[in-house]
Amino acid sequence: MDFELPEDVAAVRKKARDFALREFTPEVASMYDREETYPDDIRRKAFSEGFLDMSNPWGMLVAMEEFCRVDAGLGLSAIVPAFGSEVVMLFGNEEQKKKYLDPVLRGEKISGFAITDSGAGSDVAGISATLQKNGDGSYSLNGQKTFITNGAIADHFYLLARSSPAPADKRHRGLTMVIVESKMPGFTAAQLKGKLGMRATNTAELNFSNVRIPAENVIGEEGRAFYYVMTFFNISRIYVAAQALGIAQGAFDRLRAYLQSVKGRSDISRWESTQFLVAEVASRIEAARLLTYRAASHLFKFNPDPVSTSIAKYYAAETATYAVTRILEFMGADGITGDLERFYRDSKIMEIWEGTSEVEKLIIARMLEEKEEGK
Amino acid sequence: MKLTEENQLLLSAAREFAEREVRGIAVDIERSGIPQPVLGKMAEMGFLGATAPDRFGGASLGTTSYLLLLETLARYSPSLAFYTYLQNTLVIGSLIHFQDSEAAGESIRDVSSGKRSGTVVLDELVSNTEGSNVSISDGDRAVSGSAGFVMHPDASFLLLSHADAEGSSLFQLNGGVKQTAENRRLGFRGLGFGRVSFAASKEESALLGRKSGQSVISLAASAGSMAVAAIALGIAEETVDRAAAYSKTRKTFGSRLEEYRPVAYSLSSMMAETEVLREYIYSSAGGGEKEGLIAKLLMTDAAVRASKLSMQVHGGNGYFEEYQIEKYYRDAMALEALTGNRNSDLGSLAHQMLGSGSASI
Repeated sequence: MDFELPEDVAAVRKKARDFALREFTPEVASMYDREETYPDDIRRKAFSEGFLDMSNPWGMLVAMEEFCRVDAGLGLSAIVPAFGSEVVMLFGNEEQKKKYLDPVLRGEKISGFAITDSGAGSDVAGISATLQKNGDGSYSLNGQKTFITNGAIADHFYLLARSSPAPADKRHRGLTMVIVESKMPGFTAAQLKGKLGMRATNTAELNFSNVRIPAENVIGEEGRAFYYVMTFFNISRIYVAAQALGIAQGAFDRLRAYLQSVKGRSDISRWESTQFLVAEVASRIEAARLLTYRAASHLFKFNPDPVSTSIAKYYAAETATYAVTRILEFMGADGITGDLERFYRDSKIMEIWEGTSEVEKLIIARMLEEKEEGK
Repeated sequence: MKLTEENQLLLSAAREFAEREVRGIAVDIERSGIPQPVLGKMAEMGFLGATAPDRFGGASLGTTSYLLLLETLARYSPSLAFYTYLQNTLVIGSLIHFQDSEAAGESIRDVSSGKRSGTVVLDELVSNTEGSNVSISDGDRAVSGSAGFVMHPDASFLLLSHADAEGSSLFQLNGGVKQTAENRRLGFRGLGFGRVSFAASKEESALLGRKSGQSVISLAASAGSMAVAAIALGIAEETVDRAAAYSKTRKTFGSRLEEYRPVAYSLSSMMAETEVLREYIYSSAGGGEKEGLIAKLLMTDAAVRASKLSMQVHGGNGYFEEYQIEKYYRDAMALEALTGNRNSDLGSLAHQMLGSGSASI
């Protein structure tokens, strides 16, 4: 057991930290937060510096953490253009990879992952978008999706829809994943504004009216996509844990900077109650980091452990809101007039997206039970 | 808790007003401020001078009625509740200490009638470290300086205290105040929030009075702890009610949210906590500093957790402005930060219990 990051990963971490401090200045972060626009120039810069490197998952993980430590909205925006790519890497065919994945990895195109609709969030099998097979082998896509990250800026989406009615008690069957291009006739996207936080990221509602999807755009096998989505979540949840970890660490950094800055004007930094706050938040963050890296270690050795993943995501997300809330309560008006007010707004979504904390807890309990029964 | 006839009349008037005038524009208030006609109607209803004596044109409400008003307004628009708190608890609550001064009396009358609005420098109340920077030129009593925390900075006048060796003076600036920067606004976006600088001539400033010991602004804030608790109570009740209603209609995995034990237990526990605190707030409405601190510390904390729970029950929908849950989530935390300082409140409560030698290391 070695708790040190390998040198090459440590180097990416340092580079990511430097990049974020240079590019995500408080003024820039405030501006994108206020305007609720996607920072395309930052996406391009992050790409040209090599942070979107799917061949180096540890590097992407620590870059995500370091980016979100400085600003979560910009940090995620810088790495999210390839959202959903793991699905096509794992389950797509060579033509699909060449046509859709490669341009994204070259920084020319943006992808999105479209699962949630207005009636079904964490309940993936409850979605209502449908795929109907046409006489020529193609499909007609109808329905809507909402809260889709990159929704109004992506060139194509890996999208889940129901292709056949589910048998009773087997709701996860009959779901199919297809690649939908935003320029296909019948596809519309509208950006959703007025988010609490993560306002630099682009979020949209998508609508499909008889969108013709060619047969070659089906990923993997028809009807098997529930499994692909769950496999993807086992990957993406680890990156969400890293986002949450970054937010918690970023809040903690700001607390410590604040305590330094008030020395001489106030003895509050010497109070034992303040030292307890520092110790309690630091301990939670360290625990979240170890859980996140352990889950990542399983995954990156191609041996994902859904229990570790869900524990990491659940715990890190709660740590983000815990850290920001505790620190803001302590800093009061001095806190809400600085970066921390944005951290407070950005942190809450960690407990909601990519599976709510409730869903993570159910996965943890049920998978532990399955493990027990499998003995 | 038993409501008097006055309390019941006030409560139904406040509810009717909020339903008619506020519900439909609650989101707009956050985007573009509180419309002047709404403030005019608030003044007509006596809400802006709720706590002012009737000889100053106030409604002279008792504490319980005032708390019911704030609780009700907070359920619809915490921004509007905060504005009401600012005018009553902080502005009138400070002026009333010097009610024999003609200038103070006139200001109370104007705030109550809605003719003018006031605000106060919050620095001494809310910051762990920052004090406002005020200097008084003795010869002509011109007041100059700056402050970092002023809600509603475009008010007609600004109250600030100036401490010296013997005590503290309260000044009212009717001009010469300029916002130098806008502060970030986590909550109460219906009101402005900024840093200001001031350079008021003798004609623009008035020394309303001076007294030994604590400044009257901090006395007013301290006396208003229950008012803060009432706003937090409104936020907690509203967010729990909204989550309960949502849990009855939203289905996931084939069942309504309310059918799931974790959802039902967390909502019912939060309801229980809120009801106990509501009883405490109204039964201790006439209490002293200790009761006020207890209510404020526990209720503001409960409001933060209630709004967080409501957001979690609403899921992605709660993250967007139109459901308004995100507003209460922001406002609950801003309320804690803008109505005092948690660290000093915790210290004061410890002193109430253990004496002044406590909480010193």
